[in-house]
Amino acid sequence: MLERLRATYLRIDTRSLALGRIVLGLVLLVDLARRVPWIRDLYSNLGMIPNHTVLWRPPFPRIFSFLFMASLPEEAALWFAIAFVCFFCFCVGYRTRLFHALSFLMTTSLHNRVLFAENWGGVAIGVLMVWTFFLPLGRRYSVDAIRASLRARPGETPAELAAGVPPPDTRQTTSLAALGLLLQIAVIYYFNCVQKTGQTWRTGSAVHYVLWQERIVTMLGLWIRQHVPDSALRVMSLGTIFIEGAAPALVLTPIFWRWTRFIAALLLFGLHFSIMLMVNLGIFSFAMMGFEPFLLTDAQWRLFGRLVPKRGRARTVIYDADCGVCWATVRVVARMDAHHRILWIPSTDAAAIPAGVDRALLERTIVVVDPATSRQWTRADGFREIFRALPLGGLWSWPMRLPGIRQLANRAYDLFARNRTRISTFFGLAACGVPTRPGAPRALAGQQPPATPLREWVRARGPLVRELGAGLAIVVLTAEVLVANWAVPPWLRVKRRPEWMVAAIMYPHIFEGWSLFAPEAPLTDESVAVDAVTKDGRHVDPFNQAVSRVAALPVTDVPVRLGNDSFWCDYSLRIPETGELHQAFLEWLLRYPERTGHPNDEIVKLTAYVVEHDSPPPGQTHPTRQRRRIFLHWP
Amino acid sequence: MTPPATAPAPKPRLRTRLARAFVRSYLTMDARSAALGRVALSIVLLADLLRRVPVLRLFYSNEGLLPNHTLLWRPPTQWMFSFFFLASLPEEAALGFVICGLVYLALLVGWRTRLMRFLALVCLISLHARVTLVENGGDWTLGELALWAAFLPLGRRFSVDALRDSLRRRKENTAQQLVGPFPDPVTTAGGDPNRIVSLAAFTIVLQLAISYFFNAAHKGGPTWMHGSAVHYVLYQNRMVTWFGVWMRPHMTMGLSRVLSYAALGTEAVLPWLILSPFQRVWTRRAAILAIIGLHSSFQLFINLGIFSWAMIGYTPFLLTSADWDLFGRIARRSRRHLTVYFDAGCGVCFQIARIGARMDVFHRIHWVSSYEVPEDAQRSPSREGSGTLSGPPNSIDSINSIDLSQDLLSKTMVVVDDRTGKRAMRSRGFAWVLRALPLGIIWSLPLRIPGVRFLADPLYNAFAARRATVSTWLGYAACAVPARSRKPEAGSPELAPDAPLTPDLSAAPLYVPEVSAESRTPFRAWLGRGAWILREGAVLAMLITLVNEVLFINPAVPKPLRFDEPLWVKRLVAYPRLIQAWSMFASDAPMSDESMVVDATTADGRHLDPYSEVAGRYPSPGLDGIPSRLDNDSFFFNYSQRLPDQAVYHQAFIEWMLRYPDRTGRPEDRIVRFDAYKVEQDSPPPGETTPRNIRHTKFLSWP
Repeated sequence: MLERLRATYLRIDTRSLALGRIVLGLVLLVDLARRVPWIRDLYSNLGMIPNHTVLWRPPFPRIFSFLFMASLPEEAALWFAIAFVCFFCFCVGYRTRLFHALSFLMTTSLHNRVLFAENWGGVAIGVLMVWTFFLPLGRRYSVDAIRASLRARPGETPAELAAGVPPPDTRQTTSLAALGLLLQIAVIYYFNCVQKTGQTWRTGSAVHYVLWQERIVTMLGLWIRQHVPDSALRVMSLGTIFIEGAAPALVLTPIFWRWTRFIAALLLFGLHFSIMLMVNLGIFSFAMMGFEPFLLTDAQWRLFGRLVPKRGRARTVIYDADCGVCWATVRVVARMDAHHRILWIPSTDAAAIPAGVDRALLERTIVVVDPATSRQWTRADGFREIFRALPLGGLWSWPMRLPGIRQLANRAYDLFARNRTRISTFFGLAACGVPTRPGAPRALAGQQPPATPLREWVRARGPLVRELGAGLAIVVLTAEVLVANWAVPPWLRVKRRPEWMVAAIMYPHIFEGWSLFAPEAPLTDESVAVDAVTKDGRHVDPFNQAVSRVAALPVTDVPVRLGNDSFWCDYSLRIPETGELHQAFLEWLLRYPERTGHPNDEIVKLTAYVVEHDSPPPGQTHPTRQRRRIFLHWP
Repeated sequence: MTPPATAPAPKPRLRTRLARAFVRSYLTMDARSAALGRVALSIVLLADLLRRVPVLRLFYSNEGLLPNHTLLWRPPTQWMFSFFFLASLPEEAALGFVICGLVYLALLVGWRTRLMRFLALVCLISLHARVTLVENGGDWTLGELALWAAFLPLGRRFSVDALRDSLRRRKENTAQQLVGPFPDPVTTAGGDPNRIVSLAAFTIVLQLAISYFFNAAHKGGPTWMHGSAVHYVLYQNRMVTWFGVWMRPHMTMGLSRVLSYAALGTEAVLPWLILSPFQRVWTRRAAILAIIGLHSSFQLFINLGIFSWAMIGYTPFLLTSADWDLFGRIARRSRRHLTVYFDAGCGVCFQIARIGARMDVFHRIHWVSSYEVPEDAQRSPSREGSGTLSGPPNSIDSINSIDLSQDLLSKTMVVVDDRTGKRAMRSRGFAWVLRALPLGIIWSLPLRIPGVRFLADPLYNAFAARRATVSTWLGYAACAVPARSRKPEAGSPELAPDAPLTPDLSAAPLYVPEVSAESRTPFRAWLGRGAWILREGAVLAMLITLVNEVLFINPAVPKPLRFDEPLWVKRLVAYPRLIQAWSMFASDAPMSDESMVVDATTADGRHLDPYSEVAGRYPSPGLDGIPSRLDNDSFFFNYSQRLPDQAVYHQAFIEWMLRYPDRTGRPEDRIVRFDAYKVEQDSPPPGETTPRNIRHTKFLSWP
């Protein structure tokens, strides 16, 4: 029974962890990229949220962000560059544990610096990074895994390689963090479901109203609200509730869990993909999709393994084993060939070389042969075929199909091939009878020091420490769940927590109050407009010029599809009521001529106001009760 | 047969000879000087950190006088970097202090020096840039020392890194092998491991010379010309020390003149002594003595924060190879030589002996394995007769022969003084070994303290009883259990369970094949050259910045030489605080004194001064003059001087004042109103002792 529980709730496939790492890394990179256009306006003191204002009136008493150190745009850009390096290394699984921790620090820094303009996407990333920190994300499909495999066979020979690379680490991971991750997914959807108690969700008009949020509606959302009948929107609303309600059960069920979790993953992916198509919630939808790979079980991986076509892409590669760099490259690529499609033959093994391959050609280039058709590829084209044979090969090989790139790659290959002996000796690798230098890279030369009893003792305690950490995370986040969600029954609600628990939640900003569009979808919409008068008498709206699709004045109603990014959706929602940020907003507006470069754009007076309206009820298409109120006036 | 005649080598051209002379005189530094400089720098850095601990809450948190948001809102300089801006709460700042402390300690012992010298610079810049409003010349000086030192290989000698490198490259297996010479540090370019050639070696001495040159050149005021400067400095009540106060009545005009001219003369002559191309050894020795003398005197009279210590911190970098040869000759005069009998079969003991042998640079210790001593042997001291052992085991035996029985040696190491024949064991023996090392008096001191000694002996016994277990636990050989080597080495015997206790390991290879400069891959060599070029390029860029800043900011520079700094220079000056405005007590010593006083009224009508309570010795100095020794630290000294004119920081001051009851914990201390004053007075002229013209100005009122 215990073993069954352990297998159900504590065990997770290392391939799912690896895929999860890659997806999470991509989410982090996308999140970073979408912030780049706003470095000046969000992350520097030339923007709307200066560091001193946030530190003066922090949204939470305990807040952490490296970006608080950046006052100038170029300083913030430097931190962005550091974040990119961390996220990229995490994504490819280079020193995974270290870069996981650093990526967590960097993503927390990126979000906490601009909490005023953040939504729950940052929180979703945060909790995902916490749980996965206790799991070995780099054991498969990573640079670390390749390096470990290379180290495992230091004196590898071409014959050994032809027989196959050392088998990957297929141990399943058993950890409390796996349970934490499942509980986290269940908690998110459970509370998002049970806290949707409003009229719009009960009557099924919620999606209709969400599509009337002009700040976030996408072009597709706009089309849907105009052309899709209300009954279909009602199905979407109820479908959302249904998926959110079913997800916890599908994730936590103890029977058929291998497939119910897969179903949950598909449903949730569909849900978030649909939301992403209709409304712009920033990184939220992507972040939620980042949870899905962790729901895949060994059953799905077996299925994927069966579905992978093996024959069509099988290749035989004849390479120069005397060239150290070529041999090192082959050793690395062979370990990426997860589907064992490639047969590696050294050019010195005359007997194994397929018939029809010109021996003279082998002096100059790698030769790739399709064993089914005997078609041959050489130079960069050969490399393209090798890439194509790797998992997701189409993705890696397509750049080399582009005409310009292909010619360039072939030339680069020829240049390399002519100098490969020199390059090999340059890197201290063996080349045509020249032995490996003593100072050759360790990964290639081998030699792993054996562990001392002390080290073994420490290493043996590693899992215990990790599990203690995961257990502590479960305690801290459970307490937070019981504090932050109003649907928790009063008798279950935590009244007081130790200060350290609050700090552990606040610093990384991993709150657990899940109520997106809950209890009610918004029945009204609003936006911010600025009517600024320039020195030469023109009326301009510097705010919407910078952040919206439309900036025409005068504004009497919320414009159709403002096209705000999520930062500005949240910013314009909060700025009218947040007096402490008005000064910073005003200073940003007055710097308008610095941004445009026109001295005539100097602003002599301005009025900032909120425009609101009631969204049209189902069946109608015109908002009602348009109104506006001024929240800032200058001078 | 006569050897074939060879043509004499052509004499190098004058330009080449000059270039070589320049490299030899200015771009070369002894690695031991750099290492001692690292130690000195680390100690000053730790001192700087420690003096900031009491003001952590006041100056590094938002509960204090300079909240991070205020400084970021109105930064004293446009370009600044400090990771302390992340800290809003005192505990967050405390964490930053702990990180700084650990980095400085790692630099002190030379652990991962290459990384730590850079991190130490980041920590130092962060500590200083967070409180630029209260920084002084000492902070700049220390920052510049850390900056230039960061480009030097500080860990090549006297460091954990050097020790680890030596241990890695020569693996002794027997006690007989524990004799020098041990492998020298590997250098990128090969050659003399004690020779450092870098532009940074020049910039560090140039920096020192520049600071003295302009400090002297700017002192053109009457107080320096007439020699009354020292007299007036002693009447700076905010910073004068108790010794300075005691000296006031004895400071006649004649003495003041002598001291003032001496200070001025020393500052004026120091640049020449530091940069002299002739008699470099002697001029630098003179410079070291002058710097230590000058700044020790300053420190005795006035509290300038870290300034004096930072300037003294430069002096190790002025030491030449000749000085180290001299130190070596002096140290070798010691006739104390020890023989240490230890259990070489205990892996941990052997490793300790390996480390000890490497630290014993004057070869005073002879390491002998206990296995080499015959059963029940008695050792005859080298110069004295023989006898039998008696007395308590931990005492020093001064009798004529020493018991070296296996029974004793199985329980403890035995250290024998070869000259006197005295012996010591357990922790006392350890203290002797430490005492025999360079600067041994420092290392052995803790073990000589009676209480510690009594604690150390049981600890030693506990270890000795378990040394085999501890050794195997750490992967070292112990008795018959072999070490966990990387892989069985040729010639290294694998010990069977029934192997003898004294395995013959002498056949094992002594030197581990090393990655020498020649055997490195071309790629690594290329990377090494690239790193060297990058490092020297960075020094050159900073040197250009230094020269630019010197010419721009010092009034003594002739007008034709002064020009506006390009933006990139401004940034390179601002971020690492490479400010070069050297005019301490210049052009004149201050003839007036000033302080800051607050008159706050509490809810129950009491009058108090919350600022003076934390800033000085007097909790309520009042408006009738500045007390004779306020004893402000340099932070409060500068804060009191600058706040009255810095209106942008007044709001933070008001908020700090109003949080007074939070600090005292008494609600009745709630402040209902307060006035803040600047109090000034003219210092008494020479021959007088009473300040004149006491006045005060209100600069802030609340509500």
